[in-house]
Amino acid sequence: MKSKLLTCLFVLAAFLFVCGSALAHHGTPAYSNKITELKNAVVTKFMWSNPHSLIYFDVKDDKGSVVHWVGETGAPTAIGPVGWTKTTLAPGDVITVYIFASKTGNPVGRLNHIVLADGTRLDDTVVGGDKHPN
Amino acid sequence: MRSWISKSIVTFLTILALSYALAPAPSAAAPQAPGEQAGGQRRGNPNEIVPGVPKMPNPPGPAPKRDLNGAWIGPLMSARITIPAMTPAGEARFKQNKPQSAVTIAATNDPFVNCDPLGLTRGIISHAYVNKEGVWFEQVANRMIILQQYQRVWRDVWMDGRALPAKVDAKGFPDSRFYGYSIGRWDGDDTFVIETTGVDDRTWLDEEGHPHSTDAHFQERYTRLDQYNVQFVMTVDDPKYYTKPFELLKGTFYWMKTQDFEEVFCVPSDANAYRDTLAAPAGTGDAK
Repeated sequence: MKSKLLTCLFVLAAFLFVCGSALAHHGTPAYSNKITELKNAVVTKFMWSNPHSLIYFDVKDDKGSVVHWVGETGAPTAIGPVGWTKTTLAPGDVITVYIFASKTGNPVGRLNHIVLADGTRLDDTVVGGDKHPN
Repeated sequence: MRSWISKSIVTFLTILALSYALAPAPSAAAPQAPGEQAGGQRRGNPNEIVPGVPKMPNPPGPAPKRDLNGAWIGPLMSARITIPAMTPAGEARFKQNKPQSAVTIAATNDPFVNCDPLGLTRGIISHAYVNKEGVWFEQVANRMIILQQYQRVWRDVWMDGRALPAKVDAKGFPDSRFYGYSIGRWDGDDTFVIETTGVDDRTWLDEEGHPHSTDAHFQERYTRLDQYNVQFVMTVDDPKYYTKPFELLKGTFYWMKTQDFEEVFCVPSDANAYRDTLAAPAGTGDAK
């Protein structure tokens, strides 16, 4: 029984190590792990670009003041295969943005996904798991 | 008592597994530079080898002899072997590199973020494994020309019998280059072997910032398995920075039916906009 218990503890330790390694691999310290929802975001500019594509958009805060946000998403060759195109967004489009905001409090962050006015959902490439071979 | 302990451990493991599996995509907070994790909700098309690249008729025809000419996508199904221990000089250089996975995006010195040349390994190999970009081989009279989709870079792999430079960046010797000096040969009818040295040491081996010296020797082996598949492996021998030679990456390339690449540039003015409007407001600090 003692050996079984030791085996269990070993498995637990190994599991924690694997989880810790996997989570540690994820990241940059720049952004919160919490998703912020930004409704009625009005796109002002969409840059289909490297190193990362950028969405510039305006959102009204609780006081009704317009806040100018910038959200980054994958490079064109990364997000293209998951449904994005250079013409996905245009100035004036109203979308809902789900974003991992900067820890600084500045209105910038990494997208989780967006929802277009017609209900279409477009994910960032990092949503859905880490398939990086390293 | 023992049963209680066992049950507690099982319960704890179950909760831990579920919490990890259901966690709200912590990876989304990781802006992997060039291509990001290819883990998005890919629209799977059973008729495509990767999105946008149709599958060719199966079974493929035999491999033409000594022929890699054409456009290929990859490396696909890539895998890496653990990088060996570094020498003290390698460790010291590694600490100077600040990949995006280790520091905030404003603090990184990842060459990709500034649209700097990615160099031999990262430009053709490491960068491609996330974005699955294209490469074109074209053998001419005295060399193999390799055209790379990202940044529209080309390499000359000389096959005219010349030797690699014995050293670079020394008096009487040539300057190092971002894509180095390469010579190539056919090993049998199916495998093309490229030897490269003299690669500018400002480039990284991979996204994690592993360094290489200008003395590093790289070998690429491209084996045409059949009409539509090429097997690839790259090894690195850099005794200045690593304690033993190692395989950096292996994978496969697949035939591109269209034989046409989209234009993929990292434009410096776009990188400036990224730096000024996103990276800087996102904060600095957190050196690894």
